Amino acid sequence: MVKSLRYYLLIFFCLTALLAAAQSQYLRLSGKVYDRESKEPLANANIVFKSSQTGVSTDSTGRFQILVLPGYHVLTVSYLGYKSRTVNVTIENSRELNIALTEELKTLDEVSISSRRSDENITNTQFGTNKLSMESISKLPSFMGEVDVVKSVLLLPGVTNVGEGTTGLNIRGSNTDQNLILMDGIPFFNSGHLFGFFSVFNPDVVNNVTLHKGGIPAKHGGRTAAVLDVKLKSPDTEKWSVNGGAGLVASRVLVEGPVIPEKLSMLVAGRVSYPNYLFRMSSKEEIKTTSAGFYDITTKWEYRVSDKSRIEFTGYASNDDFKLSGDSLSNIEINATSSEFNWQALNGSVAWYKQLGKNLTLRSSAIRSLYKSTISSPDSSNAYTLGSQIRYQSINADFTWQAAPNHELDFGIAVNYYTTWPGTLKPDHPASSINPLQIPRENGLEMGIYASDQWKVSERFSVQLGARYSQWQALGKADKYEYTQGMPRTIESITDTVSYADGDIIRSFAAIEPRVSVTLKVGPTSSLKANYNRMYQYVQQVSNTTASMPSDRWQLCTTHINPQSTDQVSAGYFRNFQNDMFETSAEVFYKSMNNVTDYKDGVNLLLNPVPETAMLQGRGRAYGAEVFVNKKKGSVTGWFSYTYSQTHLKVNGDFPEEQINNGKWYASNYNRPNNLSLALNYKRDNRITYSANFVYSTGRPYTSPSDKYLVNGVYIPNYTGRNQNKLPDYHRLDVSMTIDPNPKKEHRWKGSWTLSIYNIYARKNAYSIFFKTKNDNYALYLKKVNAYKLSVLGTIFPSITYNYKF
Amino acid sequence: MIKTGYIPENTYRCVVIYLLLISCISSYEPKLEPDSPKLTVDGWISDQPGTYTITLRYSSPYINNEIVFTRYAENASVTITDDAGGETQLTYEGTGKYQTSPTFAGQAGRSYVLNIMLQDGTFYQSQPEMLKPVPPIDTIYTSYKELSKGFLRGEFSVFFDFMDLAGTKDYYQWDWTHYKLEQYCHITPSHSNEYDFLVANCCGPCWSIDRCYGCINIFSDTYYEDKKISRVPVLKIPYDSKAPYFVQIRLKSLTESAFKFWYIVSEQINNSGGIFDKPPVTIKGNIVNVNNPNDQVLGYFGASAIYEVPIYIDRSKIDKPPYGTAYIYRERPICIECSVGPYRTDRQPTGW
Repeated sequence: MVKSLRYYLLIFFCLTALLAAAQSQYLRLSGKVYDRESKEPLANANIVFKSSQTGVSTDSTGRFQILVLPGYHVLTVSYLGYKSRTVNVTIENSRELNIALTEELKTLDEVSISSRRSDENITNTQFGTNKLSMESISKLPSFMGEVDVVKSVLLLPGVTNVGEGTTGLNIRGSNTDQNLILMDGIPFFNSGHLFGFFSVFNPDVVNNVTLHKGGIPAKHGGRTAAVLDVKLKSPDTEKWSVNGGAGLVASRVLVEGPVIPEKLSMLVAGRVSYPNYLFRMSSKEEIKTTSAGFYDITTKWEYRVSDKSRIEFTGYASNDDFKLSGDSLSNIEINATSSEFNWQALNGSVAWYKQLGKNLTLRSSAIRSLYKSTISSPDSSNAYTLGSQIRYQSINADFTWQAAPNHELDFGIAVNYYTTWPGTLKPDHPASSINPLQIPRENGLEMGIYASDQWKVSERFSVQLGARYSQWQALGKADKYEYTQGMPRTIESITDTVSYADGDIIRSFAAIEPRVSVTLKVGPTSSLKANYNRMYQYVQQVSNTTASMPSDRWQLCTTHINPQSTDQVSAGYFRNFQNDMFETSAEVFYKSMNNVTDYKDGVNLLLNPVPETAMLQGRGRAYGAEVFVNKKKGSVTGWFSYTYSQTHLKVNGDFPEEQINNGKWYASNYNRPNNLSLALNYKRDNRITYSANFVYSTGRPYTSPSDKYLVNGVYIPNYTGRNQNKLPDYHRLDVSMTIDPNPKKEHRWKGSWTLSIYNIYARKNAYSIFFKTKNDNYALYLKKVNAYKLSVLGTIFPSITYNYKF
Repeated sequence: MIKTGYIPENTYRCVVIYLLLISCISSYEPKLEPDSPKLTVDGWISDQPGTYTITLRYSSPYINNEIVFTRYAENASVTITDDAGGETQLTYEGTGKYQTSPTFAGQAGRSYVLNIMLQDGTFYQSQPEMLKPVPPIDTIYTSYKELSKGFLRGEFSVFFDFMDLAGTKDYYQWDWTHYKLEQYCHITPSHSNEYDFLVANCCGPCWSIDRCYGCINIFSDTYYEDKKISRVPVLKIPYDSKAPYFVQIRLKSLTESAFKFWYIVSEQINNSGGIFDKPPVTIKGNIVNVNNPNDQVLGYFGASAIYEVPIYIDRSKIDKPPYGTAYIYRERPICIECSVGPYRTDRQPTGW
């Protein structure tokens, strides 16, 4: 320790001396190295002067600076996985030099999961993190030909969901609403189109996707489980181009280019779906009359104010419609002839990047995210619309400061204001007899202040020390209720109403969230890492169905609803083989969760003005082990992942009504202990690429009846314990082939075909097992068991997509 | 006032239909752990005079190798008491059935408790069940729709309207019973051809009874308070004849707890396995073991006021004739007695 400090001091003095000398005769050459295609800065790229054989490396933002003698210089710029470039410059004044590098992928090896350095996984302190480049995502076989950012994440270790056609991800034993889903820093409240069959992210504009499952940077807060960070690509600054694709159910187009050369560039991309013709082909009347569809628009603008400052605007709008028309619902239970679901997102952010000093950069942004869902029925006498909304507004500032060669500091502040409109019921026709009802809106202010230091203690040992202070204030205007002590919380046990005026603080919370990681390099290509983090969450989605619905409302922490928190410890061993061709890791984690939410038996959450009488908060625990092998180079690339994990919840209130499974631990809805996935990609030549992926996982738990009884002519199954049974195992194989008929770059128009086959051996994977007793009286009276298995994508789904660029 | 309620439309079911677009359902044999049999209470009373039956059975394992529900609680002492001090003793009729006298009638505004003392001395009691008043049915009307497929030319949907009771939180249930006067009490297909039958006349008048078995039609006025409730769908009538169709339509009052019971039951028995279905839960009835609250008792003891409308639905106004099949009935020279039971009756229905 003392030795390294002395070494550090020595370097410091040398540097000071050098700088002093430089004042007189040296000129400053600074600039940036970036990827030509994605415009992403390249960190740790090397710039070497041929004459002096001295050089410099770029920092984490891709920037470099060096003091040089005036005159003519030849520089070699190199970066692993990219073509090296030789640049000739004549330096008369201090100047800026930006260098674009081209990825070597096209000519050499493939990199499926790209890290900034090929052995970055060994050296950095981050772990529990997977980064997927859009290139590797687009190579995976897809459902209906739609490249899906969210679904590709499912192939990573520690990630599951509850079934096909559901929105959201369960990451290391978390609920779907415990993930922070970001697109260029904007949080998304729903990640799926058409009930999760498609993701909300347009694949054409995504540059890369990073999933943080553990060791979550102090910069991120507000959710307890994971961060899915989707970064859009920068618009092309050099030329205008159009690309897109046409598939069986959706098409997309992207236009990008410079608006003002060197200054302003933009991209705008849109997608629209047309699944209705597939419904029309059905023989069933209720399917024929169904219509569904979505569209979304993504736009990004980049304005370079100066060499040291840049402004970015990102905008996103989407709309989903789903309509069941005609007579499909007018059976006895449903008092309407048609119903319509609609959900919309309207998001935007303005971000300002500024180089404040030599080693200090600022990223500041203002963000707004609005998510809205509506259910409606047009029948005159029962016409209604039922809407709910959540709005997020935020301003934040993030600083990165290279305080010393071995200290990189991140610090910043975020102030987020949430508003929810939990439910508004309106009669939608003059003849409607429905009484209007509005559940009052709720407000909450969240503040986060964080700092973290990436400290390279020695060549072998580095630490990331960080913490986040988070604060939540539930704000008026609101009426809140007090309940009788010593009684279950119900509407009947309300004793008092407390009214809060506009802006009054109803309840506030504050918490310190430590985030610590350590990395010990144990060999030239291997390291050991460990980490601890605590996360707090003040908003949650209220849903007592197995998978959350796009129309499920969001609930803020307030009186009687406490913030959720998670403590996670994890450790892992990382090793690369054969010149970083193979990247392997083994990680273990343990999570303890507080105030996780489950629901009382048989409660209604829709339009419930007192959700605290329906919600129960308890404890959760999750643990597991993950193994990951990634082959990054060669004609065959891909990865293998295996996870073993368990997730259990315990809700043990003071009263039998406030307990689940008598207060004992029980498996969560998404507890799927064994999880295996394999993704392979074989590039035969420049024209043809084959891909395949295989997934296997244990079935999720479900609730089954123990006995049945008869009341008023109705056979009723009696369910005694939650999630005591298990669905059959899930497995599936998908394959695809991409053909580039003209791989040479001579033509301006470039097109490629992708043929995908989803579920090639047509396995009828169980989505659920259910017991339906209605209209089945005869069977029930006899010994027959009326249990059914529902398979959603229980057949083979071939598809074809044409992608173009010009 | 705080309201919690139920949107008239089942949003979750819609989504399930969406999933069914591309899904498939197959039969499945799960492994289930059977549980010990539990006492089940099945019965209700109303404000109309009549013999009311309370049945005490034991639940049966979900997978069973015998005919189910053959275990009854026999020779128990069963009484119904009200909040005015009235008490009615029910008499045991065998196979778990306990009956009131034919003159027994509940009274709106009064609450009733069912008391059960088993032979071994275990004492069960229901929570007090209030018999709430019921409003009259205003109008009954139909709409006709031609069908493009199947054996029928079309069908009539029957609806009714009623005014919600003012100033109270109300819950309703409705059902229907269709009676048809049958000419033949015995029909056997002849072997010569599928449209050829051997039949025997009934010895006296005999009506067949049809109702929607296992249907649960309930409604909460939460979002309709004090309004007219219109277009309540009751049943669908086939257009297979121009003759009037006789049906009794009943509107019943429910208590909030009975409504919640039937709401959850309805959700569970209509479960279609979609991910957006609520996971099934233990349904709590309104009967408890007085000395052992951990003893699970199943079922519900209900009390309702009833408004009943017998009506002949006119099927003669449709221009096109109904589809028919030319059956050949060959009468045998004997008569068969009406087999009185849940599906046949020899008593003239009210309003016939």
